[in-house]
Amino acid sequence: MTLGGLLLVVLIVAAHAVFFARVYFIIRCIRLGQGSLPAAFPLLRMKDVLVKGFGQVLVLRQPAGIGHFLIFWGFFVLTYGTLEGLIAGVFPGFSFAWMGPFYWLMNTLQDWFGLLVMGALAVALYRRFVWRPRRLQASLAHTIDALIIIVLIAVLIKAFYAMRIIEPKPGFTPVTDMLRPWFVSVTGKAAHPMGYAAFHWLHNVVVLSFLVYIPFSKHLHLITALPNLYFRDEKRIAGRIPKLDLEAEGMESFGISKITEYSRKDLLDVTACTECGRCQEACPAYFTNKPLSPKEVVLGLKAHLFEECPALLRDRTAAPKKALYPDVIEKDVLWACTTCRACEEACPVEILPMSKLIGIRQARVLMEGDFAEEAQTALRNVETQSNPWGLPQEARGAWAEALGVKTLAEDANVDYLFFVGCAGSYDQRYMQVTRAVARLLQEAGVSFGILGAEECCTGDSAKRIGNEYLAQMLAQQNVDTMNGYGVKKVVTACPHCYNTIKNEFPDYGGNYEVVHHTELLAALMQQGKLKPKQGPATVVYHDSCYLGRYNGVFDAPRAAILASGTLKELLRTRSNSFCCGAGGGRMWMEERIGGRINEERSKEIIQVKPEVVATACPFCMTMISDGLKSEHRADIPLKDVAELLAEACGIVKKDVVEGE
Amino acid sequence: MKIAVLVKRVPDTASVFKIAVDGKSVETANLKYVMSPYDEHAVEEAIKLKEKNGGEVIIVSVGPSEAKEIIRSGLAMGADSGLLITGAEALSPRGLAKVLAAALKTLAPDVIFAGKQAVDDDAAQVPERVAELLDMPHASVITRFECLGASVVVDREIEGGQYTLELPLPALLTTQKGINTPRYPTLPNIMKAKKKEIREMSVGELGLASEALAAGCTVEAFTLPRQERLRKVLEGESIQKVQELVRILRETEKVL
Repeated sequence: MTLGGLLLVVLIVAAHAVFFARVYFIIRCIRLGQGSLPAAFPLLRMKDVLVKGFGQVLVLRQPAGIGHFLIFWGFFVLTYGTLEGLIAGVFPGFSFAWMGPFYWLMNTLQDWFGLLVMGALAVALYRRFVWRPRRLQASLAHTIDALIIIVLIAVLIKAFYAMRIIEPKPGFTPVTDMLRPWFVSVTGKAAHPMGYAAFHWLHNVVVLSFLVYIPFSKHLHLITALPNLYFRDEKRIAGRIPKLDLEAEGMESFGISKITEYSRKDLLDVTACTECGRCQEACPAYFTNKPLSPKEVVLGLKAHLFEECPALLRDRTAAPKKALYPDVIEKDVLWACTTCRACEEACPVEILPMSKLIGIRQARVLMEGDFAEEAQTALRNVETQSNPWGLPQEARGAWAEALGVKTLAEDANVDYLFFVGCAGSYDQRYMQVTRAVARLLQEAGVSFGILGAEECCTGDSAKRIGNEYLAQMLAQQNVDTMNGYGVKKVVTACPHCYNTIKNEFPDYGGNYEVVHHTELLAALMQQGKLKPKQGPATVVYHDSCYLGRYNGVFDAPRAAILASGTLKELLRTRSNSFCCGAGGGRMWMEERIGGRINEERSKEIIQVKPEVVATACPFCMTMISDGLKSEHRADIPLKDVAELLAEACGIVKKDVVEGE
Repeated sequence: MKIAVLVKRVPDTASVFKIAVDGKSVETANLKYVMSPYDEHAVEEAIKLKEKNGGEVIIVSVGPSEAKEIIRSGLAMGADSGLLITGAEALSPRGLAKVLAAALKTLAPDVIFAGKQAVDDDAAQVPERVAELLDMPHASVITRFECLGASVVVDREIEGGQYTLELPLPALLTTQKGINTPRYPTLPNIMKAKKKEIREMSVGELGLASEALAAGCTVEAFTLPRQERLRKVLEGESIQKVQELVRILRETEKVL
């Protein structure tokens, strides 16, 4: 071994020592979290990693993802040459040539990917320093971080080409071949052995620097992103909030008030962030200039984790330097979230920023009783009258009297329980929707009944505000009532009830087949039980987060609209839809900071010049109705999908509006 | 410092009220009950005082056995124990005050808080009567409370202004909205409240003569507020409609 070889060995060992020490530290940080990483169904997890990770499916949902795809695969391809170069640095003359055709193929790919990666890097530089889309704007430190990585990769590739120019390898290498004459004209010589050695050293040193730099930088995601996809937590899939055990022996603290109270998956999550900002771009709170950015939430937690961990690793009970709330996550950040889940949908590595906030909300509400006064009033009302307005529970079924809809107490021998929800029972406007749904079901000959005064709030708002205690009481009460009547199938006109009954009631022993009214109505149309007449109106449909993004119901409401008019899509639609602003208990809180989310959405709606706006959620209807009014476009009719269908089916409007 | 809070279990005012067949009472079958909202302010003020000066807070109520739930909600806010006197809920304010005064005498509190009135019959009499029976200074409708040790300073709301009063202890005070924001109970406190003691005693145990509890006045009849609508649509030019509206409000309905 030469002296140079020996030096390289020392560098390799040192770089790996630093790298693995840091990785070990990060693993220990993650292990400070609760529970263990979810690992059931390993084959499904591998598939996720293959498709979403190696296939880059989530990354490729945006055009910028193409650049990432090239850099990602370029990394693997070029690592082949890097490895060869490192070994050759220690044992001069070493090569992978014995691999034969594969060697030829890899040399070819390296040549091509070198150029592609350089192109992607150029675009990355352009986006970060010239174009600067909002989602990529970051603090100076983070920007420098990005720059260092881009420069390191670029230098690496330049050195690679220089080496290949000086010392060609078998393969179809048009890029190297094209560069060679230019290189020769600049340096005067093609194959100087000293030149090769210089570039070889440059390449190896940069590679090792990169190795050391990765786990200290945002490029940590190289190590954590794929595991993060693998260890996906099914309990939190699609915005679900697992049921907290409130009666656990010795449990003194509920929700998240310290970073170590998060699960290990939550902590792995925050280390996987690459600062791409797609979550931020999708966030309605951020879009309306509120202090919340899901990206900053995750980065804040990441920095906090790494800051607190050294002390915690020495002593688990060490007092934190900063309080998770309000030092790391501020009050106005915490409460700005509408739980629309756009951030979680947007993340290419399935980080869940929203669920991090819910945990802190639970601690604020359960441990401190600390949340917006307006929301306290709403929840107190839910406690006494089972609805957030505090209207008499006794009057819950009043809308149904004139329509001859029976309660299950009167006749439990029905196919469907129509779970009306609070808004459908009390909100003057949404009661019209309730009546439209009831009339359509009657028209189609569906046998259904309601719970009337026995129905209570499902607890969606309570749960998402963080009042797990109240949410559990409400869920249990509803499940007991429904099971008491032997309910099997449920139809509801509220996406929030829908999500709770379908995804959370099973935790309380309530297992039902749940459909949203648009799903049932679309099915009834298909079966020919409803025969709408096509109308001329151009209808714009606004997707409800809890129906669409949460539960994937996109097509049923559209089918119902298409049967009664022409459908026009908004720019942000389906899983990319923009929240109305009322989810996560925000319905019951004042929106005091920044612009109003419902007005922003209403502007987007007005822009596409609809003749009619359709919604499928009581919150959306209230918010969009207010938004259209603020934008002075109250003249645009706003209707629920069921109302459109009722009109198209010739169900007299008076029937629906007056219930007479 | 011993702090007592008088609370009352009342129907939620959002309930649908129906007059019972006797015409002198309200049907209670479908009513939802809550702690009278002004009493929540009293509980909050008592707990704040305890947090500042130490001591104990006892929630005292007269009502049926179910009133324990209302006491329990006060305990969940942070009060220490409860006392429920049963068998006296049908009494008039005069009798109620005697019952409460007798019970409070055994507790001997330094400060008594109560809501300025209960939102069921809105009599606004019981706390003041209790104070008189106990020969205590009292201030009603307070919007600020400060304890100076042996005395307290309060702001008392009056029409178009306020009094600032200093009262020696022991004293009784009734709270008005605006004095504080009643806290939202935390889960650990709700759990603890389930284990806190609520002493239940029947009115008989107080040894009061039955004639002492006789009503000062009795209910003759209950009627619901009129809720009819005129359903009148005014026609014509805006100016005429306004003139007509003002005329109706002034001359026919006599509300202007």
